[in-house]
Amino acid sequence: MARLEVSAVSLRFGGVNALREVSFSVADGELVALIGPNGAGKTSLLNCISGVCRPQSGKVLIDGEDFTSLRPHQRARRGLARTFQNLGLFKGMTVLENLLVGRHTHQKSSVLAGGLWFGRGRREEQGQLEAVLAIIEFLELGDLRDRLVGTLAYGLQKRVELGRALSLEPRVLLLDEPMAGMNSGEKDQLARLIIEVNERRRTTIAMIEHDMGMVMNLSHRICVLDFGAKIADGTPEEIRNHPGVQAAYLGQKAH
Amino acid sequence: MTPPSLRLFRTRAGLPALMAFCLALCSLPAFASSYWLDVLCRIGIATIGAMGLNILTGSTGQISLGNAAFLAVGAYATAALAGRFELPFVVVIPLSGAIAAVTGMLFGIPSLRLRGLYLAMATLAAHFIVIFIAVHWESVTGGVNGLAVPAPSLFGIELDDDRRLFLLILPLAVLLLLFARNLARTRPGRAFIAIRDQDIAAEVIGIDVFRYKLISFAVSSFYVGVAGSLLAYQARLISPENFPITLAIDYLAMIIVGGLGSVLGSVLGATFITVLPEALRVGSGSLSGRYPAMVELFASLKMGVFGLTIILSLAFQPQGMAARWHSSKIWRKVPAS
Ligand SMILES: Nc1ncnc2c1ncn2[C@@H]1O[C@H](COP(=O)(O)OP(=O)(O)OP(=O)(O)O)[C@@H](O)[C@H]1O
Ligand SMILES: [Mg+2]
Repeated sequence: MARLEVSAVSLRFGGVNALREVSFSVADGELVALIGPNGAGKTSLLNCISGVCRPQSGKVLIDGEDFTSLRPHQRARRGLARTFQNLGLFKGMTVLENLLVGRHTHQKSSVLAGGLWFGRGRREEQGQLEAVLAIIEFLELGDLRDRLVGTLAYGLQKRVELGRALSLEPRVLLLDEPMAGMNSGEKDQLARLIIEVNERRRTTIAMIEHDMGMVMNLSHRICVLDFGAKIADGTPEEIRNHPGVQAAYLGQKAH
Repeated sequence: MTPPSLRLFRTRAGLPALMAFCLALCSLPAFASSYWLDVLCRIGIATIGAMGLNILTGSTGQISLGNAAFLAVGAYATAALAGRFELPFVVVIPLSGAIAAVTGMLFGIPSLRLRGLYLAMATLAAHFIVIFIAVHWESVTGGVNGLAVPAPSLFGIELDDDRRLFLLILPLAVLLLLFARNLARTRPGRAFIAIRDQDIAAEVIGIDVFRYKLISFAVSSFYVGVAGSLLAYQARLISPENFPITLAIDYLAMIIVGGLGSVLGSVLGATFITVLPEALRVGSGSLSGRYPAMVELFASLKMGVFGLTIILSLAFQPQGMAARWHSSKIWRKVPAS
């Protein structure tokens, strides 16, 4: 059974067919890249998986469990995390606090336990702090720990958002253009971190990325969308030589 | 070492400063005039109410014009529980807060669908519904004539003047402020801010946004209800006139001038907005004494100066008084732990 299974998902916005019967699956421990020209429906697909959008038809399953009608927070509680193309950070919080929000589903403290602080509230907070500090160190964000995220450079904010998703300790991690706006040094660094998450933590990853070099190097498998439909799915080698894919990209360049 | 954002106080000087400040406040009733004691009590009450509104509007980002209504709910609950059922204040105050919390949660339901100005309109409707009930449900609320509230008592000692009442209000305010600060540095408070900053990302990271919006309304209204309860105990006679819509706007002014989402800001804002009219009254009073022909002019000037002061404070410290305080040079000289 696939870890993540998307079957025949269709999503329309008025007259726009953002997704047409897209099926796609990711095996446990796999790192799959989603590519396609602008407006192909890649983000829409992640939105359907994470529950931000409700598809008109089709199903989303994780480890065989039907997620299709779950609300986004219920999916998170079951181990699904994602990042956003245009950043979804909590600007009024520090780096550390953003990552702590990622621990929300691992905590139980209610208003009373939190507000009274002594006892369970405090013990729980300290446990979470350790978990999050480990991730901050892993992402080399230590120096920025207490900075408000809004004051950080774009590439760093992207890394913080990855950290917040990792704090959830997801079974499935969805990344929407994690390298956008980065220079090649930053991209290499992030690629190394993504590989480590995938290999060492055995986290299953589906990643949208435009940098073809990175996609070819990082992913085990590549899935190509064009005009809301899946046009190819295979190893980097197969995709490189796929005539339909070349046409889709060339077609876009001609615009 | 605990990161600053997770500490109870930003600096090591915070706790001793708070204790010294409270001690100083405790000694005030010994020599303050009854006029300033009344103001002091009202500052304490306003601080609790502003803290409540700040949790909802400052931290969670849900604009509410319903806080005068929730004050009224707390006040009428106190009048009924203490007057009719003769319950002691240790029961009445939390119970009044709880009744206001439930009311707040009900009126918070529209927030699941509405945002910004639309939510402000919905909470405004809540205000008029509550006041309508207060005016027309005469058997319980006393209608426009209002209700008398007995003095709170403790072991047979009646807290029947501001001097004694203040010694109830002060510790209550301190406890509620500490609770709010603890909330801000733990899971529920982070969920509130996450909803304010990015509600979709909040939901995707596992926060039940609907649930936490309602929790925020409940916690906020609890605070405001406690403030209403104390207001009833202080006023001893409450009627719908005690809860005009302008009171709700005063509270919004407090948190905006003081600092959105900030505990210290709630204190500073509540103090500023409560003291300003008093200072203007004292000022215009002494001027009218000297120029009796211009009494009316000074009365209308007061409103203008009130508005102008708020506008100026927003123009020069848009982040609120608390931010100004934290960034002031004097404060930086105190060694951060
Ligand atoms: N909320 C929305 N309302 C209306 N139309 C939408 C919405 N979201 C996406 N679309 C449309 O759906 C189509 C697919 O958009 P989507 O964002 O999924 O593309 P994408 O592959 O992520 O593109 P990009 O590479 O530019 O990020 C586009 O035509 C877009 O205009
Ligand atoms: Mg996209």
